[in-house]
Amino acid sequence: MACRTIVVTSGKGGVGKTTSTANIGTGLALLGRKVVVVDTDIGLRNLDVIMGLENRIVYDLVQVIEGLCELRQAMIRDRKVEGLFLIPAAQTRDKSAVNLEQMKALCERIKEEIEPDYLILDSPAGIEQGFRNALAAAEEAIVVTTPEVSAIQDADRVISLIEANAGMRPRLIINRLRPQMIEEGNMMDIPDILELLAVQLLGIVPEDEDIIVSSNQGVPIVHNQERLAGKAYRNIVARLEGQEIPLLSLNSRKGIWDRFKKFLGG
Amino acid sequence: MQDTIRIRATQHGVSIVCDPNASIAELTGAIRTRLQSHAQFYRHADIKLNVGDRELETEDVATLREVLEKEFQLRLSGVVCSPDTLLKRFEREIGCAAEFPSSVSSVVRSDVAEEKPDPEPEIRFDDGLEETMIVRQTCRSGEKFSSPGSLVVLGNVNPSAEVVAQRDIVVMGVLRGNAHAGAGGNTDAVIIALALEPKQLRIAGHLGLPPVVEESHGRSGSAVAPEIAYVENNRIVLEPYTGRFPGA
Repeated sequence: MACRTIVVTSGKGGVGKTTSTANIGTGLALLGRKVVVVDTDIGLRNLDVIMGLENRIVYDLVQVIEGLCELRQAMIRDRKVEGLFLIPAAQTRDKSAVNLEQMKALCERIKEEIEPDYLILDSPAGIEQGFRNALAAAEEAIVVTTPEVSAIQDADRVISLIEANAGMRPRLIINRLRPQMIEEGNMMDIPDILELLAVQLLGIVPEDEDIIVSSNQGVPIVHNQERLAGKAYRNIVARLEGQEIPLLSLNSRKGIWDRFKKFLGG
Repeated sequence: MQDTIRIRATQHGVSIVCDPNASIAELTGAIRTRLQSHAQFYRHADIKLNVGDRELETEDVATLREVLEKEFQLRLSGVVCSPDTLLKRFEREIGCAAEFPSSVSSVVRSDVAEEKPDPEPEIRFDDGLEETMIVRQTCRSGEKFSSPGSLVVLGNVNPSAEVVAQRDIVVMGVLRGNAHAGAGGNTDAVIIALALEPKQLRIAGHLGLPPVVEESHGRSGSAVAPEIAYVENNRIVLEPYTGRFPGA
């Protein structure tokens, strides 16, 4: 199987790019895939924390690029899942430390030396250098948004940049959805979001306090068989793998609300 | 008076027809003035230079190419000239008389003869206000499209996208972004959309903010109807579009 290079991006910060990257990467590895996740958010690294690997960082992405260490030395093996590796970002540098060509070359090197099934790039927020680096190195794109007007507007901008610069058709994850709020008419509904953004929906992740807990503990929620958010990420992973899993929300709205409510204790 | 350059679009693409008597400086000047106002429109297009009977030096082509490619991001895909010009050039290079074989000659010459009356329908792009730009995509946040004439969008105009036209704007979709019709001051310009939900509408110098509807972030639900915005008594008026033009 040839390696698929996927960038996870959003435009707006704080919508769940890094959480999604960690969960998708972990979920794919749980299915037996060999996965390398790369934190390209140089200067503001987070992915290592969410994956619970921050105390094991010795070398980082910038040091690999500058030739100060071997690629394998910077790769951190996950504690729980076989076949999952993290390349952390440098915390003491900034976005200008890496240029577009270097990022592309690094990804090529990972593909050649490590031969993973998936290479997942966690993009920084914004649409500047860091985002462009990650975008240039990827072949597929996942855009994460929340059902807020500002996040959707930023997602729209990012989708336009992805389509124009990289010629890719990105897929969408709607994160932190709160069914009760939609029901009350206080949040944009999924069909409205899809109508506006006009992209393929990869999945919907409900708001779940356990995601915060799991991020703090460094255990991605995809491990959790109980919570709906974990199931949502497992569905997303299955869809990435080409399986057709019905979306949680689009068919029967009533039934879904009830199910959501039950899960959320509403 | 003959124009220094004419821009012609035929089934073979866009070409710039140059006056054979104009100097290279005149040509580059004319190209600049003619393309300047529509630079966005022609960007990345393949274009041919039709130089007719003029004998072009290599440096001349380089100069023109530089203007077209560097300043307007066009691609010079070829130079069209008359067979006699080609022949003369060849003769100069090889230093003796040259001619086409008789069979080719008649074909070539009859081509030229046909070229003169120009049987192909000619579309003139350079009349400024008459041109309409068609955007065959959804305009997303941060994108801006401007047309020297009218603008038609085959898609939605999303929040924070911008569409600007000297004349009318027609959106075959939902207009949620910013639209400015009659940008040059034309107060007769109108904005029509299958659904008008803009953040801001502008027609010529008038600014219209849509009435503040109680904003629900839930489903808009209600059936959308096409609407038209136009200027009446110095204000932007919005009404259902029934196929009739205001004042008609």
